[in-house]
Amino acid sequence: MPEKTTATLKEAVEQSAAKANQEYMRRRITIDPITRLEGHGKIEVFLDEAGEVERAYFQVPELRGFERFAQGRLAEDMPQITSRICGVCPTAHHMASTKALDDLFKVDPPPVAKKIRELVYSTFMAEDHALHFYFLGGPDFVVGPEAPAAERNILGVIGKVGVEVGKKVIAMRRRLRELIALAGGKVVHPVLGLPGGVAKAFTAEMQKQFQDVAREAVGFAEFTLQVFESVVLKNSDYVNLILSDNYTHRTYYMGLVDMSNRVNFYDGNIRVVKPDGKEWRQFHAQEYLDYIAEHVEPWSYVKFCYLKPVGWKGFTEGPESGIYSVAPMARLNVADRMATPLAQEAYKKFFAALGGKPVHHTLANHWARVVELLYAAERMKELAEDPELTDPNVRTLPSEKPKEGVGVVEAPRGTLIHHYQTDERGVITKANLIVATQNNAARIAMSVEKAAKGLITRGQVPDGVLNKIEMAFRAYDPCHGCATHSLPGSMPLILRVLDHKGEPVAVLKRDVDGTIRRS
Amino acid sequence: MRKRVLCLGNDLLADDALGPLVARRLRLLDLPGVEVVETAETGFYLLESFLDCTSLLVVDTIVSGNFPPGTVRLLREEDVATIPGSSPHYVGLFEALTLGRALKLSAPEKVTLLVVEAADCCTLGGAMHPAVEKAIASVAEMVCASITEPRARA
Repeated sequence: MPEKTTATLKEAVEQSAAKANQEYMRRRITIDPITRLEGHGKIEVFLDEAGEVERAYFQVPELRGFERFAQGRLAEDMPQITSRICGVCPTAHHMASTKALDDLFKVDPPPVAKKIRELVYSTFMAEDHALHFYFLGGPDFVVGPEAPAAERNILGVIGKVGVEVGKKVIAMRRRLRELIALAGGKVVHPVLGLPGGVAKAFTAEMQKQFQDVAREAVGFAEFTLQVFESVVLKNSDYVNLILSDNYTHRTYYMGLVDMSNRVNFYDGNIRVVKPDGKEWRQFHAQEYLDYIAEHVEPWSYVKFCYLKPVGWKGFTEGPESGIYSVAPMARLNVADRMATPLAQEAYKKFFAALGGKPVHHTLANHWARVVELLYAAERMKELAEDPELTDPNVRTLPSEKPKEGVGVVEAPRGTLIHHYQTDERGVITKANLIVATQNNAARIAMSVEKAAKGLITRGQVPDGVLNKIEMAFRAYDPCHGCATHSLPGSMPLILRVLDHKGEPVAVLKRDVDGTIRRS
Repeated sequence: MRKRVLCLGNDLLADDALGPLVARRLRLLDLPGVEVVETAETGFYLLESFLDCTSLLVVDTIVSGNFPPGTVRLLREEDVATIPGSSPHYVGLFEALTLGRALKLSAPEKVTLLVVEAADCCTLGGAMHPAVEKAIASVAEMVCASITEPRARA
């Protein structure tokens, strides 16, 4: 080939490559105008002509704009990007995203890689559940729902359980976090997961560290269960509150189960049970679009998930309504048993005390969380003692062209699904996330409505409505991880009541210092 | 005396990127005896970020609605509401700080806040408000000034 032609060809190729790269970069960095996240901690109540509550809802923030944000990025970057969206459960996003990549590249990780992932994931679940039980749910149950508002806070919890126990919680959590950092590179944004495996094999020394902390974690979880039993279960007022109709909804439940229908946080089929507790369907994550649909209401841009084959029948409960719930209580409801012995004992006690399966009492989520804490710790111990854990073969290299992948895990707050479609280079063309709180959105709306209906009548809005509504949604542990970094950090709670014409009747705002203001 | 600058924020969320961007600028300056920490974590998850230091300067955005975007303010801890956890679910920096102190962990006694009024901290992949972006340089300068002059006040 003459030199000139070669040079021209080279130039043409370079120009074309530059153009392609430019286009790629443009798509990478161009962010189209996207919808803002919902207002945080905002409750809206709509009244009918008589001033009675017609409907009420609590705005659940979604990762809006995510689909557009993901487009044009490399799929293998998603475990890092998605873990940075949320400051509360980065490990859950990282793991769901990594599993979506396994599916995208049609690659099956070696057994040891799956064990390492599950071990790290169980460590994360134990850490998150411990923190939630003591310091987030604690003010309701450890201090007590009837305690004065001034005591229903962290200082109240410490006052009740003692400084030493408080220190024990923090120390346990610190050790669990150190393990996540040890295996995942970083605790906040782990870099462990890769399509087809993990980035780092376990050494004997790492395994020993996990074994030591796992043993401690089991002891800690048993201790926590005792705290729950002595503080909550021995107090009939608390038990009556859990069982009260105000906090009860008979809906479907969803969660992951293993091959033997036991609770599993990391992998398995998605199982759904009916309000009577019997299995409705069991399906693979890849089939989620056949079972989960999203309903949109004209008065909100929250998307309410429901079971597609059952259908959307409004904010109603029962077998005819497709509304379902996720999170700890739902996970126990969908499983036949727990996979570890101590957690199984706790599971049996849970259902025996609450009237059998399924349990429909939202506040029982706090108890279910402690049962799961014990399971997470026991599962950690099992995996840490596995002799295969130090096998250096931690990755199967992908060889298929990517097209579409779905990954699912049980986040602390419930089922989390990542779904990506890509071009043949693995550049994302479409992405979808179903986060735990979105699965619960319709049921949370029902809980909020029940509380609002009980307190607002003839257009009169008492101050106490805020706290009662808050109790109703807190047990779901709705995720507000996004956008809470801004100072003062705590979020105000705002209640807007609108009449039948859509005009505001009252606005109540509870500031971060607890003051309720009316405007 | 261990001095730490804790820069809070998430660089995927529009103006919330301020904290991390200030942190990156400060690291280039390599301030002697000052530890620069950046994190996107929230609430109790922040606990470890402020343990084991005696003086803490927090850099973050604030959405008070009372000032135009980009307004920089230096606040003391007592200037911001510190009543712990009126709502246990919406915990923030101060609840974590209160917890650290109540448990007699090595939480700092003195906390100063350097805050920038933000226009939008919610839009995933959103652009920064020009005034907030402009504040990055002045905040970094203020951090340096406040560290070299401990008695600095707003």
